Amino acid sequence: MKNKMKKDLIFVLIIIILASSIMIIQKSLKNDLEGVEVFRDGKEVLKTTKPGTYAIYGDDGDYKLKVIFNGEKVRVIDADCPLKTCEHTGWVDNASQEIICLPNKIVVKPIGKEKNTGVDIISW
Amino acid sequence: MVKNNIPRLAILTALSSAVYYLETLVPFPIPLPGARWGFSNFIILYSLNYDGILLNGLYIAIFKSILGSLLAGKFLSPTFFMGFFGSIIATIFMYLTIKTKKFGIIGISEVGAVFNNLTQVTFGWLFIVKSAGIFWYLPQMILFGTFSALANAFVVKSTIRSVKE
Repeated sequence: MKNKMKKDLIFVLIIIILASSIMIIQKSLKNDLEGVEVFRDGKEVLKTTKPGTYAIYGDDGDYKLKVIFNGEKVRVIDADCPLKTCEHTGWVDNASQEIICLPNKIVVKPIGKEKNTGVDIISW
Repeated sequence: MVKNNIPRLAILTALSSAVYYLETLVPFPIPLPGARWGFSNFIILYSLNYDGILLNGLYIAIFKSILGSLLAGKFLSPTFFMGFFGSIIATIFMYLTIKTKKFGIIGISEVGAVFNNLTQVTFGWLFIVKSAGIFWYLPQMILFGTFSALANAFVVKSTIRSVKE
């Protein structure tokens, strides 16, 4: 029993270390935003690079939530869901983190700046 | 299912449903999509430790998800399905972990928590938001799941110690 206990705790410790190190990697891979995309049920409903406040509506035209993009960060306000997890996620300034609203099946996906600016894709 | 198992399963399912409902009243400290405390799963862990029968654990997992979510008013919502399939897959993997006889209660509980989180996130990715970005939240969910797993294992240990038939 004692032997198993030790093994258990080592196992738990490994899981904790793995999860924490992935979180540290996520934080360090920070990428600035240049726009925001919103998907509802897997379909794109908004794509913009202009700062502003955008309201998102459902298929039948009922109001779901508002997305604010201020040029550097993005967040969700005034969601109509009960738990408001998307609102509490707060400002997101990392392009790899998406704001997710499960009850409405909405994903707010920040668009990151292009990292390699050596080649201008549009000019050729 | 043996006949004299029915009252025991009924009591355990009722207890698990009640915990599932009460849990919805406790605010979750950090914003994670679809995340819950998961304390109602300690009853499955207890049942598997008590008789080692997979089917009994699955009965509790299925009926506590349905009853608990009916009480909480979110039956058939996207988050209900995440918890429903999470519990079932976690039960199967906890059972397999018990069969290997390599881990104690804490280890079994942790395996259940990790597979619960993995199933939830995969289900959310494939069927709800259809965006792999939900995996971003997986490490945080697993960290919180580990806390719940330790709490569940502690409760089950105390229960086994005090309930001797």
